[in-house]
Amino acid sequence: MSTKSISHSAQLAKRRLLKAAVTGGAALWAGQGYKLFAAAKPDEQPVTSAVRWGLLVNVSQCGDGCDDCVTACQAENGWGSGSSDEQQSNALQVAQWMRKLDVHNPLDGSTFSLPLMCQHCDSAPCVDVCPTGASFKRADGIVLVDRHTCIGCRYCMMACPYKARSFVHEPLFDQRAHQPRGKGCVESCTLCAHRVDKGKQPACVEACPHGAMVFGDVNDPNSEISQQLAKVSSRELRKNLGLNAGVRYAGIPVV
Amino acid sequence: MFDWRMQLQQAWPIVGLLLLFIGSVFAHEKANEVELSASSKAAKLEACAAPTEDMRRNHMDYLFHKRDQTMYKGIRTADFSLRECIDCHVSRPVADEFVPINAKGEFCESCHEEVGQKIDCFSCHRSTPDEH
Repeated sequence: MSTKSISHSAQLAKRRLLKAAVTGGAALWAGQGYKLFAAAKPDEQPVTSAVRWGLLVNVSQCGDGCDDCVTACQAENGWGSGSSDEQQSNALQVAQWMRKLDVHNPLDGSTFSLPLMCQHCDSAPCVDVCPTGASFKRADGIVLVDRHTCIGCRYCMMACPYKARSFVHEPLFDQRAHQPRGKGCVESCTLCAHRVDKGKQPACVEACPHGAMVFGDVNDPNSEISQQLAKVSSRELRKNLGLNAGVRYAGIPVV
Repeated sequence: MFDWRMQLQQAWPIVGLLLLFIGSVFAHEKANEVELSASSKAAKLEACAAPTEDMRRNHMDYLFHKRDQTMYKGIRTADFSLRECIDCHVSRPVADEFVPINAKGEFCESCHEEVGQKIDCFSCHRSTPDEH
């Protein structure tokens, strides 16, 4: 080995050490504010099926007219307001990774509102119908689209019973570095996989001012979400479809 | 009778042309070496995530491998991540100001244009570091 290449590796090692020290310090500092749900997975380790990420939304705590979760999702993933999203397309067709729905019961006049996004189903219809395998489920239960393989056929959009996916019709620019998006591909909520992999919570959960969302590992009986699921009565939307959704809702009035 | 000397004398121009041709190939090769932008972080480092020669020839395979590792397995290390490539190789004429890495004459585009390879990365990926 030449002296030159030794100095390469020394320099790289120094760079990495410095980076590790800086990120470690930042994590220590940031950790104070987070409800830590589990030790963060080391970066070089793959996700495993020992974990299944889930989300519990307590609808009774969810603020009427509040859409902080949606705004946080937009800012984190670079879609919707403030982004370069579709200016010329039909307003009904623009990206919506997450929606705040107001549900109204005409029989008794009762209303409630809930955030609706990809439900990260265990047996996801979008994964089932995808002709190229672009729509897939990660080992830890997060359902994603591999844009490199997506041909934009939109079968998954038709298959999804929650209308959780969108299609990008126009060239985009100024995307977030951690969230590539582009014309001709289908996209949806990623459960903030990039944050989860770093041991953080999804942006919507962190942003909710009412504490109505709990995120965590449903396979771990000691996680906050598992304990909440055991304590409060919750349900899946469209349970009749038998999809075993990763997102559960509590406090939906029984009709 | 067949005169070899005569034949050789006639062949000199051809040999000369051949030498010129070979020389021009090497000259071309030399011109093909990608100039690192002086204002990039990369210009201040001695090596990339792999030795420069290796990166020149195999960066696409490394990127493809890494992208699948990240997307399917959630492995988010820095080496061979496109985001890190951009962060390190992008021109920074002024602090916190970047020239898109796929702009004409920039690191990715200069070489890809030369070899006639269209880069597809930046229809989805951001071509500058994220300032957020």
